[in-house]
Amino acid sequence: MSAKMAKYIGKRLLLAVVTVLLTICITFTVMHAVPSSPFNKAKALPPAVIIALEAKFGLDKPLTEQFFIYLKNVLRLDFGDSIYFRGVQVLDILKGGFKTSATLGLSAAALALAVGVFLGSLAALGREGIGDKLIQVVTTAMVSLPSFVLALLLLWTFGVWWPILPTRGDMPLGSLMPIISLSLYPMAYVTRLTRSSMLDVLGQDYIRTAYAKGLVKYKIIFKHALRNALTPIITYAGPMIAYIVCGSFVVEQIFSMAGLGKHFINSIQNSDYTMIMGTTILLSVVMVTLNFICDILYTVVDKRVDFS
Amino acid sequence: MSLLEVRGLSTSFFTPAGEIRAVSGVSFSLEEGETIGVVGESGSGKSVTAYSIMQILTHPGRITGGSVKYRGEELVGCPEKTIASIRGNKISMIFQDSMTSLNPVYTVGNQLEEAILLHTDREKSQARARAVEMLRLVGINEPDKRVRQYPHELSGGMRQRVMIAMALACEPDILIADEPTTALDVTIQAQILELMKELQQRLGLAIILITHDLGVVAGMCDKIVVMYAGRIIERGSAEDIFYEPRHEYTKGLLRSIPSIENEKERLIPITGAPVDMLMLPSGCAFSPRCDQAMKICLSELPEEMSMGDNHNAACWLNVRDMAGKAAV
Ligand SMILES: Nc1ncnc2c1ncn2[C@@H]1O[C@H](COP(=O)(O)OP(=O)(O)O)[C@@H](O)[C@H]1O
Ligand SMILES: [Mg+2]
Repeated sequence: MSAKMAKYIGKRLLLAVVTVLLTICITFTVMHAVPSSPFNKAKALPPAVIIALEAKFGLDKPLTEQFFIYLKNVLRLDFGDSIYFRGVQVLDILKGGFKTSATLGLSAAALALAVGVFLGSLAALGREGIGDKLIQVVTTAMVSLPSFVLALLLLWTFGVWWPILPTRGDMPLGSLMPIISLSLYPMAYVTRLTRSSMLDVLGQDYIRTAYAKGLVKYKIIFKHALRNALTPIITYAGPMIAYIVCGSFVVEQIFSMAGLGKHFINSIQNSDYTMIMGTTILLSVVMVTLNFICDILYTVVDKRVDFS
Repeated sequence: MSLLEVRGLSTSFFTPAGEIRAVSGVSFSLEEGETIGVVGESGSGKSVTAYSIMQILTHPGRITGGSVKYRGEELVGCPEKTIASIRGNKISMIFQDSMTSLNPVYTVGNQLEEAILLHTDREKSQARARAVEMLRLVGINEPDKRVRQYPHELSGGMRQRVMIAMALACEPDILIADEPTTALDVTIQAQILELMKELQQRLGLAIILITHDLGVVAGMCDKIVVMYAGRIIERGSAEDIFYEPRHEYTKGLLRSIPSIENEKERLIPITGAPVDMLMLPSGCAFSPRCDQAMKICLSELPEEMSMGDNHNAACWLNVRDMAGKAAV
């Protein structure tokens, strides 16, 4: 690894940390700017009780002090107790939700990438053939279908009309439909991206050089073409992850899965300050980390990347 | 038996707008250790001729006729396996733009070793040693370091040396060099040509040197063929072509060479645009641009006619002159 690259990675890392800090800062400010106190929702509590509760959760201290206390705790992975579910640590709730969501999201992303790259390469190889045309039509339909519509369609088809798959995410094989709902859009997109990128690469001079060396077609496709064709796909991986994370909020609800999305929506409904902040921070850490990985991967695949 | 024998080679691109006959009935032969120059303006079918010999044409191009024999073995229509075992092994090729012709994501060493591993039974470590040896042979300093570098880390001249090293790694008999110096500046150009000459003598290589620049072939070639609109319109020794050109197109090309002695001399480019390959005239393809054109030039295609020992030209003016002489 060159010094230039180390510097580049350092810069990215710094940027990632700053992003997370900013998220914490903004969430904290917004949370404390909304007028509703978490305690004036629950029926009519006597004012004395509310004051006592606010003191217990530290809500009576000046904002800046509250912020730094919070920040210090967050750095120790302590997000405090849930305000809604008394006596339960935010971290414990998030841990469960994170596991569900991460499994769902990563499976969907992996499926989308693997199938997308494979189908895209096939389409490029058999350019303008029947397979290519079919792939084009299907992917065009797919990219115009939002994941929640697809989720409902699948739910109705395989859960109601021809009930062969479980409709709840927590049952065995239950994650099948949610994964498919989430992955079809990015899969279609990756397929199209791979196809056009591959066609572009196959017309490059170095592909001709590879043929002139006597290499056979499959070696040229998988060694010389694919690696160059991957660059735009890695670039797309960032937005894809964002899409999957957001899509999973809705899909988790549809399939009754206790993921981060469900906790996030519940905590907003319950004005559960600590949960909202914990979830937001966790989500931002996840996004920033994945984007960071994409950036690094990018430089590994393509050595020409300008580290500036 | 010639080393390489090309007979009546024709290649077309089947585009939506129609068939483009990029190469029409090209014939020439190449002997061991010989250098043949293929010259012509850009678009005259030089590269497509080379790609046809190597069979590395891309969609929608296809060989439509003729024969290419390597040491007597027919390559046109041969199994893919046969031609793949010849490419990079017996017949190698280098290209104009060394920046885009090397894969940006693999090291120089990796790309050099590829052909070695493919065509010889060397192990990985031996292939690396051979790669280093080849880099040294083409005059690259610190070859051990260079093998680990990426193409973009080298200069243009150095990259073209790498291309040459890559092409020669399996000791081919024939090197096809398609505008190998066009992308380089003049001093580097001379160095690369010098290197090719030297390696040719050392390795007994036959070279097909393709260029649009007659100046480049001057000191290099035993034989020269001149192409226009996919056909060979004149061929001969370097002396024939330079001192006794018998086709107006060749004369035009010669007038457009910048001369080193006379910097102030005006260059005279050939007037008119190169012919539209989709609408070739029925006569001589050069006739619309030829200021000596006669009636017959517009309607009938001139065949190659002998102008003396191994000097041919396809121009009706020669027939007229000969007829004139005969009448006297
Ligand atoms: N991929 C292609 N598709 C269509 N026509 C092509 C293609 N490649 C080359 N041609 C045609 O072949 C002719 C000869 O091209 P080429 O051999 O590259 O010329 P040059 O003598 O400059 O090397 C061009 O005029 C062009 O019309
Ligand atoms: Mg060319």
